[in-house]
Amino acid sequence: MTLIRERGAPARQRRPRRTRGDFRPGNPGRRLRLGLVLTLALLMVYGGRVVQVQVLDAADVSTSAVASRMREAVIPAQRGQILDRTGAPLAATVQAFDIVVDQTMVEDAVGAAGGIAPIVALPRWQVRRALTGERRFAYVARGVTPAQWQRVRDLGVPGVFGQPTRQRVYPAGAVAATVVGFVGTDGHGLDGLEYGLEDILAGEDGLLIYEASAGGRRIPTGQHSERSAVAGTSVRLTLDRDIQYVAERTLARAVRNAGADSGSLVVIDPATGQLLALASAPTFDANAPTASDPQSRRNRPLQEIVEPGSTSKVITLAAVLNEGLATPTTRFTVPGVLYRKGEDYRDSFEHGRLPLTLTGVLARSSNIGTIIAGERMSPETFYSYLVRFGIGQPLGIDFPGATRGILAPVGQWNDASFPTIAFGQGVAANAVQIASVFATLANDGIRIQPSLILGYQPPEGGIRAPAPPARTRVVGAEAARTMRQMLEMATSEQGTGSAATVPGYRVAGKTGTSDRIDPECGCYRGYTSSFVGMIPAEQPRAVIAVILQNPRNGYYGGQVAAPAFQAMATYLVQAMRIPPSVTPRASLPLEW
Amino acid sequence: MAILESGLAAPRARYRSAAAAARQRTSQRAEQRSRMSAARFAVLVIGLLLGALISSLLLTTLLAADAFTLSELRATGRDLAVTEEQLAQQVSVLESPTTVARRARALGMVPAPGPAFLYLSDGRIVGGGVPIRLARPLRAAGVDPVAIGR
Repeated sequence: MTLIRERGAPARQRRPRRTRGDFRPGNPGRRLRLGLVLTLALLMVYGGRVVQVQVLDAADVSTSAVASRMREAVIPAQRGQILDRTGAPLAATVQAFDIVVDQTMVEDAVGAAGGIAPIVALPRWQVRRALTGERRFAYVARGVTPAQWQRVRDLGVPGVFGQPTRQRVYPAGAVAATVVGFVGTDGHGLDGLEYGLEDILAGEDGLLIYEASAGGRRIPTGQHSERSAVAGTSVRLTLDRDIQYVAERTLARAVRNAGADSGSLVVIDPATGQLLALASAPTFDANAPTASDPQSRRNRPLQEIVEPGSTSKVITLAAVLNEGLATPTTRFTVPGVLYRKGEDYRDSFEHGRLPLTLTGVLARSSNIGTIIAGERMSPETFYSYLVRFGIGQPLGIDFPGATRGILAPVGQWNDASFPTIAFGQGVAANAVQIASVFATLANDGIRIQPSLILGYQPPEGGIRAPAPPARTRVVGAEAARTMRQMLEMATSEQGTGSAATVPGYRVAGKTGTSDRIDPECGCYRGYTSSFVGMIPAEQPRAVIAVILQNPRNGYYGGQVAAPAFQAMATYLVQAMRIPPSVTPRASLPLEW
Repeated sequence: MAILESGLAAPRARYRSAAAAARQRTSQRAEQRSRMSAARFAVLVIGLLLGALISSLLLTTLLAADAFTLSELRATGRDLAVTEEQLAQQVSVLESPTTVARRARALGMVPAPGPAFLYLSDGRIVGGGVPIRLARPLRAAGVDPVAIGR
């Protein structure tokens, strides 16, 4: 700069005067000044650019520079387990590998397929097809065990890689499959509790950011940041894996023997309202959900509604007892046909006038007797008992697709509503709701909302209990005890449920046979047969509900469902260490 | 700049005297000394630089070596965790009721129909163990019945 100015100054003095507009390109002063201006302009452009890069866009530019070296890797969160009440896993997540291939690198597809196929238990042609082609990425086998991947890696096939992944496994297979549900290939829940509890189980994925060389190798001294994955919370269910297994087997056998379409079996601990088993038939293998019929993946005890039929007579008669409108020995004259407001009602068996006590009405499962006894109270009173017993009310179990059943508000009842609902038709409930009615009587009249979740086990340890279930007094303790005695008579030799007896134990229970709602036509077709009972009657430890849909080898609940109750109860007294009854069986007259 | 300095240097040389020459001799010795110390200084600087370079290399190598050890140990830890997980899963499959029941049936066992309770207070036996007729003898399952109890 200095140089230009020093030399430029004397040149101006020597220059001869020129008139305006006399431009000669040979003038060195002008040339220099022009050069100076151009140089300054150029420098200003450079300077501006420097300012732009170093000051104005500095943040962006340095970010993109760093970004070109930084790599991100997602650290998958460990999904929470689903455990039974003892802590045995029903659903767990393990390390697995997806075997992938860069097809352009494979030289001998046939030979490689011969080596890989037997290890991953896939047909040879399928593996060969996966290895051949021009694709840079294709799956050969998904979700293989680390041991299997190790063996494949030892083959040293070029282009074949293992991608670590997490796989959901169900160690007990089909046990509780309709409760637990299953996950998709992306590891997110698709059905059952896996779906319903997704937010709790999933956890939060972590992120690893590190500086890497062009080859992708991590630079040891480079900067890195890591946000740890937060593991999901494990959920402990109230179910007992062993009881659940026996319940499923017992139910499957009952469905097969009865030639039924499907069935539900529920076991409740009446003292806590906790569900010990929630069996559904047909069921499926949670480890291979796609191979199953969608119908077999339904959790029928929670998702399917049935007309409870005679099992719901206990609500009517418990209400009558609790209102003090009758005693177990109150005498009723039961005609063969009952006419009410243009409709005629009959019993399941032909009979003339029968002299039945209230106990006899229940034990013989007389529709007419139940209507006559029920008419001692107003429809509003009856309705309030139905509601308090939980009919048509939300269960309080957060399960996807759980139904609350159907109960029309008393204001909308027509002439036929009261008599039909009194013996359990024109009203619908799921198996858990029906079992809960009996659990209420077993628990001396206090209804405890049924529950399926025992607690949450967060990754940091400890166990968090869910909100305590609602408890409501439905009937008095005395009325509940009396109902249990009457139900005991229903399982006596003279009752409809004699096939439910367990030697050495007092059993109380009720058979049910009702018209089945066929979901295909929305009409009545076939029967719903059920048996709901408790053991031991004097101090019930377990309530068992068995419901069979559309049985063809006989259809009375006492015939097809009661034996399943008996098998289940026989197992439960051993599993729950229930000593035999020492008090004598209840003895109430059925006739007068 | 160079042009300006050379213009000034010429008159300065004219004023040099004998005293100045003497001063120049001593300054020559000083120059010699300073040249030696400059050499030493250069050696020192180079030495320092080399030292820094070597120690930085050493440090980086150590860090890198540690990183390798770390990743090796992590890999070992991962493998062990996977093995443990596999074993735990095998156990949970083997202890699942499905497997236990199948194996029990394979041994010829059947579900007990009714338990018997022995009251220690008075020696009463309540309930009844019901004898079961086996569809096939236990030995047919290839199992020594005596060994089962052990």
